[in-house]
Formats: sequence, C-alpha cells, structure tokens
Amino acid sequence: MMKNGILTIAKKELARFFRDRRMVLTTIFLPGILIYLIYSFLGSGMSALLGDDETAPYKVYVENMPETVGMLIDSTPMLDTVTYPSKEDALLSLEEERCDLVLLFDEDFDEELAASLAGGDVRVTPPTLHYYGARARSSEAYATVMSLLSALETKLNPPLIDMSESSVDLSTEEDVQGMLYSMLLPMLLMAMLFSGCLAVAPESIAGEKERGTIATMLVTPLQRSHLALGKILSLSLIALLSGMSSTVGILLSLPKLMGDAMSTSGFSMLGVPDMLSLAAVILSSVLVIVALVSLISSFARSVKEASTYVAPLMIIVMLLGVTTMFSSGDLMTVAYVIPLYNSVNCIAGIFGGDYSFLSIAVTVLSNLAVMGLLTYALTLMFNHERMITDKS
Amino acid sequence: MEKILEVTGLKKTFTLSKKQQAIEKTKTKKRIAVNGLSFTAYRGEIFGLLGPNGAGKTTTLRILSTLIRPDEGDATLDGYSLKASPSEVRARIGFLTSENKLDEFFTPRYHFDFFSDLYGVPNDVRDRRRKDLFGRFGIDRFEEVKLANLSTGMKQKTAIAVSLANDPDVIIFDEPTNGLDVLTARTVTDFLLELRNRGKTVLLSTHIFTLAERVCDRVGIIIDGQMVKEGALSDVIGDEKTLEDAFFSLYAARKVGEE
Ligand SMILES: Nc1ncnc2c1ncn2[C@@H]1O[C@H](COP(=O)(O)OP(=O)(O)OP(=O)(O)O)[C@@H](O)[C@H]1O
Ligand SMILES: [Mg+2]
Repeated sequence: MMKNGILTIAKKELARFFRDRRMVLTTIFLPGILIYLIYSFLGSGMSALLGDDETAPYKVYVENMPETVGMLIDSTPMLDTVTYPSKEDALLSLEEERCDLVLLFDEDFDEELAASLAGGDVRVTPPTLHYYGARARSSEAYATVMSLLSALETKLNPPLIDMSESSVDLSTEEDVQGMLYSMLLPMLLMAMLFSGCLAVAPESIAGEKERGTIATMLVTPLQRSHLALGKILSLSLIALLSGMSSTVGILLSLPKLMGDAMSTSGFSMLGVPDMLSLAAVILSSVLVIVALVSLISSFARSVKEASTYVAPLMIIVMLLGVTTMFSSGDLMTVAYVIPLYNSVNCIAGIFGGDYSFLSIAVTVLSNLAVMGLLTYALTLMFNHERMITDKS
Repeated sequence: MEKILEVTGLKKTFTLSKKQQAIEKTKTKKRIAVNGLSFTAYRGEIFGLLGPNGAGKTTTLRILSTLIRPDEGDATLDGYSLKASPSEVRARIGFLTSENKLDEFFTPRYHFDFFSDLYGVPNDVRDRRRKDLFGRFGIDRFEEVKLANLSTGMKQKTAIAVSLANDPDVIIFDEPTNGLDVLTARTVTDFLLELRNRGKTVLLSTHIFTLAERVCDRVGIIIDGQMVKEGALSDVIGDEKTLEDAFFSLYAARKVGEE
C-alpha cells in the first residue's frame, strides 16, 4: 500500500504548528485580541479616513431661499447653489448624485426669524434637509450647511430650530454599513490574510531550508510535487485561521471604531449566497498568497531573508486594498483574472452589495489556476539543488 | 563479488558566492569539488571514502544520494542510474550526513513514523523495525522526548535509526562518528559491522584513518576531488605500517607531482 505523500506532509505541518502552544498563541489568538484592543482604542480617529478630500464646492438646491441664509451660503466658498425647475427635479438630481443637498425653507422663514430675533415669542419653522449620509460628498454638504444654520440658531432666543429632526437622510441603513465595509474591509481583510500567511510560510519553507531539515525529506522517494502541495494546503489552513482571528477582532471592534454610524452585527446584512461567495474568494486568495509566499521563501537562505523578500508584496496588497476605497466598482470581467486585485475587488463588491457571480467565478477559477502554477514552480524549486547547497 | 554501486566520472563544480569568496580569500569564482571521480562498491562490504577536509567526500555522497546533480558522469545503484531514475535510487538507500537535520521539535518516534510514511512502509513493518532499531540503540526509553531535549549522541543515534526506516540495501554515512564520544562512536561502528554481516552495503566517508582501518573492507582515497587510490584495505596500506602512513606517502607524491 502506497501512502499519500501530500497527506503525510500536511499532517506533519499541522502537528508542527498545533503542538507548539506558543506558535498557536502568537499566530492565531494574539492577532485577533491585539487588533480588537488597538482598534477599540483608536476609536473615532478612523472616521477622518472616510472623508473625501475633493475640493469642488458642494451643490446645494435651496427652495424659498431666505435672505439671511442666502448671504451665509454665498459667503461660503464650499457651497454652490444650483437651481431646478421644481423640488421634485431637485430630489431626483440628489438621488442621481448630480446634487449633494436639498434644502427646503418655509416661505415665511425670514419674517419668523426677524420676529424671533427681535425677542417675540415666535416659533421659527425649521427647514427640511434632504441628503444621503452614506455618500461622502452629500454628508459633507449636509454637515457644512448644518454648521451654518446652527451658527444662526445660537442667536435665537428660546424657540430653537431643531433641524436634525427635520433632516431626512435618504440613505438606507444598509447603504451606510455597505459603504463603510466596502471601503475598509477589503484592505483590512487582505492585510490580515496576508500577515497570516507571512506568519507561517517563510518559517516552513526558508526555515526548513536554513535548518537543513528539508534535505532529510528530499533524500526519500517523496514526490516533490507532493511536498509542495502538502505544505501549501496545510499552511493555507493555518493562515486562514490566523486571518480569521484578526477578522473577528476587526468586526468586534468596528462598532466602537465607527461610533454610532453603524449597528453592531456587521455580517447580518450578508445573505447566504454572499457568505458563500465571500468564503470562496477568501479561500482561493489564501491559496494564492501562501503559494506565492512559499515560492519566494524557497529562494531565500534564511527566514530573515525570506521576510525581506516578501515585505514589498505586503505593501502591494495594501495599496490594492486602498484602490477600492476610492474607485466605484464596475470592473470589466477580465480584470478579475488578475490575482490579489480580483480578490480585493470581489470582497469590496460583496460588502458593498454590488457584485456578480460571474466575477466571483472568474476570480476563484483564476486564483486556483495561479495557485497551480505557483505549486508547479515550487515543485521545480524543491527539485533544485539550491535547496541543499544555498549557504548564507 | 556483485557490484552494487558503480560510480563513473563524477564531476561537480560550485560557483562561489561573493561571501564565500571573501571568507576563503580567493578571487576564483569556480570551485571544483569533485573532479572525475570513479569507484565501485560491492554488495555486503564496507567501503570507506577517505580524504582530508575539503577533498570532496560530502559532495560525492550528496550526489550519490541524489540531493545534487553531477555536472558530468553518473552512477548506477543496483542497476538504477542516478540521473535517469532518482526515485528508484532514493527508495534503496539510507543517507546520513551532519548537514541533514531532523526537526528538533519532534520526538524520535514521531520522526521514525513520519519517514516510514514517506517511504511508504506498511504500519506493522514500521512498528517492528522501530522496536528493533530503537532497542538496539537504547532510544526506546527516550522515544517520546523531543529531540531538542536529547543529548548529541542520542540525536545521532535517532538520525541513524531514521535513515534506516526503509531497510535500505545501500547505506551511505557521511562522517557518522563526528562529534561523538568514544563510547557512542564505538556503538555506531559496531553497528556498521553488524549491518555488513547482515548483507548490507555500507559506503562510509571519514577523515579518521584508524576508524577506516578498523571497519572498512575496501577504501578509496580522495584528494582534491580525485580518486588517487582505490582497493582492498591491505592493498592500499601496502608496505606502509598504517593506513595513515599510506595516505601521507600518497599525499606527498601527489603534491610533488603537482609542482
Ligand atoms: N554549496 C557549495 N558552494 C560552494 N562550494 C562548495 C559547496 N559545497 C562544497 N563546496 C566546496 O567544495 C569542496 C569540497 O567540499 P566537501 O564538503 O565535499 O568536502 P569534504 O571532503 O566533505 O570535507 P570535510 O572533511 O570538511 O567535510 C570544498 O572546497 C568546499 O568548500
Ligand atoms: Mg564533509
């Protein structure tokens, strides 16, 4: 009976990892705990990240513009008034992102205001503000106008205008969460998965080479492809656990990080198909990353050297993650053939609630194909005498 | 006598890295480690590969164990060519060198079972072999202790046991007694004789001539990657008193010839 080399190797890798309590603690438990603690402390500092630094003025439609407010808006360079034939047209523009804020005043606003300022017991009818809190520009326009109005408000005697009550955020709850998640999560998730891979693959490949333990295995008739595949599969499992720990840490700390902007359970808005898509994308991405890091590590003479080789890759992944924070989806299907880039975009799409199963399928198949190629390359490396003769 | 290992015209040149060049204070990039080496080992004998440091012993044995490929030449082991059927060769040899290590994290028992699996040894056969070898070397008492916590001697004995997990026909040992005290070294050399008496072929490298004199049936003397003398122990010693004396005259003759 011939035993399966892949299984034998994978079993040993897993035993090496899981029997080492310190390793399990530092690779699996600590990342999640640390991230949770750090992010919880970071608090709302993160929300600044969500700002849009575009400098074009916000487009505001104002119905029955009162003189007082007109002067205020005119003297604010960040606000531009736009005109539409009717309130309905303005709201349609707002929905289609051609306009950032719709401000509706009562005809008698100025008179009421004057009476109130003169000390009369007059209640000023507050304006109604329509905006999309989930859209960066819309919510910033809203904030700008609100601060103008509240400056006005402080001058009023008791009858205050409670404008937040008359504000209408047209975003749905899902829009808000989707935006936050789709901007942040792809980058964080990829970074976490990547650091999971970095924690195990260089140690297992370059480390075994450095210590001369891989040579002992290469003396046996073990097929080199089985060695490569056994390592990649088992390391992927460990990397996945490590990445998952970090992800749980992030998810638990996100509510604190984002303040009240979102409700607690992040995953609640994902349906079963979304979850399955996400799992398929993450799994195939981890296989690619582990195979890539393993291959690169096989060229290194030591774990230390391997880490320096792999570090730039981490930066590339982070940058890819950042691109999704500012781009607006809608990639061509062929773009999903590119490993890592495809994963980041799929994850962004899934959390943004905007993706196609075709793009997921292309991503997963492409990732598996790339992982196959990388495994083949690693097999060639294991056959190469560099595995034996490299001396530092 | 049946030929079991036939080595013909092995040559291996290494390219030195910048760092190696600096360490060895040399400007030449190439280092010929093995230079047209040929010899034959017969079934059931202990063949000793003798030579000074840097002669090319380890490189030769690494080539024979298929870890590195020769630039020129080949060898057949039990009829299988190194270059054409490395897997067949791997299945039939046991290889031990100080440069190949066992993961210190695992126990002797784990290693033995793991390598048995890599060789595809059935479990019942594996268990019998392990009991046998571990008993022979006194490893059984420590079989569940991590290698990191074992003595150098016990580690080396474990490495020897593991290298024999596939019950190989040809056993290739590179300096197997290096770093061992006389007692442990004697256990190892006694074991080599025992293996030979069981019909195994042992290919042994060493720079310790007294050891070779005690256990080897035939020897080959390597200097600068070349085989300068090969034959039965008594033939190589010839008129000299000891193997070491024979080596010195060979070495001196060669250095004179070079000038
Ligand atoms: N990977 C390598 N890269 C460069 N040079 C090497 C490499 N391996 C061996 N050499 C060189 O080849 C020559 C032969 O080395 P080898 O290790 O085979 O000698 P040896 O007979 O085993 O010596 P020792 O008794 O010191 O173990 C030496 O000069 C050594 O420096
Ligand atoms: Mg040597």
